[in-house]
Amino acid sequence: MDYLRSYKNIYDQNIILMFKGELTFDLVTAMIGSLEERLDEIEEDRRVKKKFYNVSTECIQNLYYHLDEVNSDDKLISSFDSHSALIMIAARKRFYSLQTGNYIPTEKIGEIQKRLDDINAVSADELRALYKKVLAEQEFSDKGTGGLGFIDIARKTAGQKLRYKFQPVTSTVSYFTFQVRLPRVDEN
Amino acid sequence: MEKIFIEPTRTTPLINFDPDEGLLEMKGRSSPENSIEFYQKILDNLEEYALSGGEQFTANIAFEYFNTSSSKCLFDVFKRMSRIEDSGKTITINWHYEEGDDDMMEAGEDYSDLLDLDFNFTEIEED
Repeated sequence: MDYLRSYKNIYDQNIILMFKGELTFDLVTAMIGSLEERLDEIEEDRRVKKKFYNVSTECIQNLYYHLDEVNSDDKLISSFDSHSALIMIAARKRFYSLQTGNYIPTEKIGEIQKRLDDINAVSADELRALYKKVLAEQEFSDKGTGGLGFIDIARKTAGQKLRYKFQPVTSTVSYFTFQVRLPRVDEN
Repeated sequence: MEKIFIEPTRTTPLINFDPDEGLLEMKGRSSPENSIEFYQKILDNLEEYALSGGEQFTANIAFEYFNTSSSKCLFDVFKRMSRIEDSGKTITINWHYEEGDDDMMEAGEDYSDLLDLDFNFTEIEED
């Protein structure tokens, strides 16, 4: 077995963090801590470093809060996988990329997609107004989340659209892939 | 009302609430597992301060980062401060943010605007 060869692809693509499995809050905190150390080594621009740290924390915590929504399916999704998250963070030359994947109930697609599309359709100023509206008006969900996660991520990666994909897995479950990019160089 | 002092951790900020001094300090990072639980004690004490606290109240805020769930809790914290002001007391809110951190500055502006509170904005130099 040539392990190095199978890992080489990963190294070549500048992946700085990769994870698959169930998440606990402590694990999320440790993961973000290790990401921060890595960013300290590779990123010179303090503002970019901070922004990416913020966006990653929001994304990974967000994922953590929503991993308990799908039940296993004997044939297609094991009980482990149904609560598993996939996280991949890459540092490319011009941007950072954070990609997450998780199973979601298909019935939730409509709501999530609408939120993402609404966010992608507005300007930076409108995004700020939307954030303020949700901040002041929306109540906490049962999970203690405030409905601000995606808006905040979009604000901090201004100019970059939130990328996503939904793929059907079973009659009731789909796979949700989400990706954000943060430019490393100031493009203004 | 009671004094509250909480040491900072990787996911929770330093909290120093001293009702005798009319002072609330919040500093560091805030991304706790349960933000509502973390901020509840502060909210309760501020509520009481509006009713029975001294005439002057000062808040010194210096966040490095907070997540969106904390952001909602902070909105409630400032809402309580607005009540302290409505009760006729003098209130001073100092919002410190790291040099060049426009996101943190804007966050302060958003609270100030939404709740009609005056914030003093101060940039802190990088370490």
